[in-house]
Amino acid sequence: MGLRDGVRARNESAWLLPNDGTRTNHRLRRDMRRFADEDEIDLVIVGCGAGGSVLLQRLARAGWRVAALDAGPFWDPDTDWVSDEAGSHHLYWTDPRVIAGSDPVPMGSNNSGRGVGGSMVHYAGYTPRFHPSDFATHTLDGVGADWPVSYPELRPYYEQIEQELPVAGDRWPWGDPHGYPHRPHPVGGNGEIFLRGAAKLGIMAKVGPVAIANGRFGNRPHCIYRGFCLQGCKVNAKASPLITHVPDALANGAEVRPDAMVTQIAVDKRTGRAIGVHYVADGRERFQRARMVAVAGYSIETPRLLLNSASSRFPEGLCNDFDQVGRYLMVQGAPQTAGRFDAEVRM
Amino acid sequence: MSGGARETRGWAGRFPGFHVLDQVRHWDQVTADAVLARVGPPTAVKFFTESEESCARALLNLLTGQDGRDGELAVPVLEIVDSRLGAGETDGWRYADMPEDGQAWRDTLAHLDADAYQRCGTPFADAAQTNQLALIRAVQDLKSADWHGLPAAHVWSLWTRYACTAFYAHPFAWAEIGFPGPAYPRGYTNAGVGKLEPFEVGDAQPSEDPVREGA
Repeated sequence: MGLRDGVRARNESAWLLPNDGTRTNHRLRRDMRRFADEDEIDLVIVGCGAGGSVLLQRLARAGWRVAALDAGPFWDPDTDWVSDEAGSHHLYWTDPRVIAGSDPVPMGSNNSGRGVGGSMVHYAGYTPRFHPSDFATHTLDGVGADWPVSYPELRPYYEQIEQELPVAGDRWPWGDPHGYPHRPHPVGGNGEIFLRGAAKLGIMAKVGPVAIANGRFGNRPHCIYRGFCLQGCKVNAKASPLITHVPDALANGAEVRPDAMVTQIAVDKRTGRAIGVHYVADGRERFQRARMVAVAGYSIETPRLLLNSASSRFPEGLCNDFDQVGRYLMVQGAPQTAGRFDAEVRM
Repeated sequence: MSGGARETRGWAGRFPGFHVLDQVRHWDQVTADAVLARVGPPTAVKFFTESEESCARALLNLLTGQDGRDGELAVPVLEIVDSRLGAGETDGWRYADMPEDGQAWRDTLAHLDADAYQRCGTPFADAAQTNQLALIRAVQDLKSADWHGLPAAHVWSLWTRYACTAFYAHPFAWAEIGFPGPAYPRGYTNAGVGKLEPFEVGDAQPSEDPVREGA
């Protein structure tokens, strides 16, 4: 069985999209299974982004009765997205947030997603693996905290997801050397200048991995270098779970419930077990029963929901017996250097 | 394009013959609709009061370099910011030591007028341009120090975030920097240093640097 057959056998999403130049399988959405609030489903997932959608797809395939609720819309790249920055404001999570402290991190417009596909809808597509040493920075370097999992445990999952997105990039020579399913994309002006400089200084440089198909993948077309990865990919070339996992999840009997904002996780006072989620849809408060609840709402909204779910049984919020919820938040650093060059340098 | 609207700023000649809106026929309809909505007549001011409007207009035009060099405005930054504030379309966050964005705009415009009265006896909008520049430069120079009870750096961040976002949403600002705007379904084919698409125009004044220190 070839690599591509193997991917298709476990996740048919890319083959469930239309191949006629439009980007959304409307029939799949129209025929989607819909659970009633009163159904005690096996699992309700909060957030339909990078984590929630993959979980949804895997469990639907395993025969679970599972639904994912997302606060935002079920996007259609053809009609909802534009090749324009200001016109893409609605992709971001812009509910009011207050930032404080000595070095506050601006939030919202660039680091949280809203709607099915989550922040992967507007991320740049960069998908490096962690370096094996990243999992033990406290032990090795005396900074941060060690992870409770190790690189070798995660490696098979990295390999699976890199095939399903799929990822394009140079062979990665550092840490645990590995290749990617698609060849690297050609670099733009910035990348060319960087590679030239590195070569001159004798520094090894590689074209990093991005979750953007380089060549057709199922019914997804190749990248056309439109330049608006951060505004939602209208081409279906850049990966987001809207096209990489949700179609297969729907085909396997999962429900995606858009425009449904979860406000609290309910627990049984006696057993302490989760029994469902309170959510708001169309301005009405509703309650979805479930045997289990998974929270996949990104680094800000996940802790917020866990803390908002405090009860007499869990006065400090859920999963917070050790006061760890919301701590160790880090944002991605993005060092930039600017200079002047003889020729015009474009992205 | 139809309608005769053209870039009017002095730097439009940097990319001679390049007009973003000539490319509209190559854009998908949803994108074209969103962009063309910005080049029509500016919307009526709804959020700012009359005195706030004059103060904000002077401030925003200074911040975006639209200070009357050509006698004509290319980008209606005031109207764009007003409509954004009216719709409550924030970035999704605010500093704990600043009010919500709308109130922060009202408060800081009042403070700017108060400074102008103290320095020249007029509202900010009526002050001579050298005085206007001195007044806002004073806010910028305070950095994180206090300005009327607010950290000046956070005020500066509020003003410039709204000003730049509004200015660079407009196709006339793209023409000024040689940016062709939307590229779907067409895409780009000539990535790389010094390469252009057939519809792009090279920089005619590459040695002119409008932001060079001391320029």
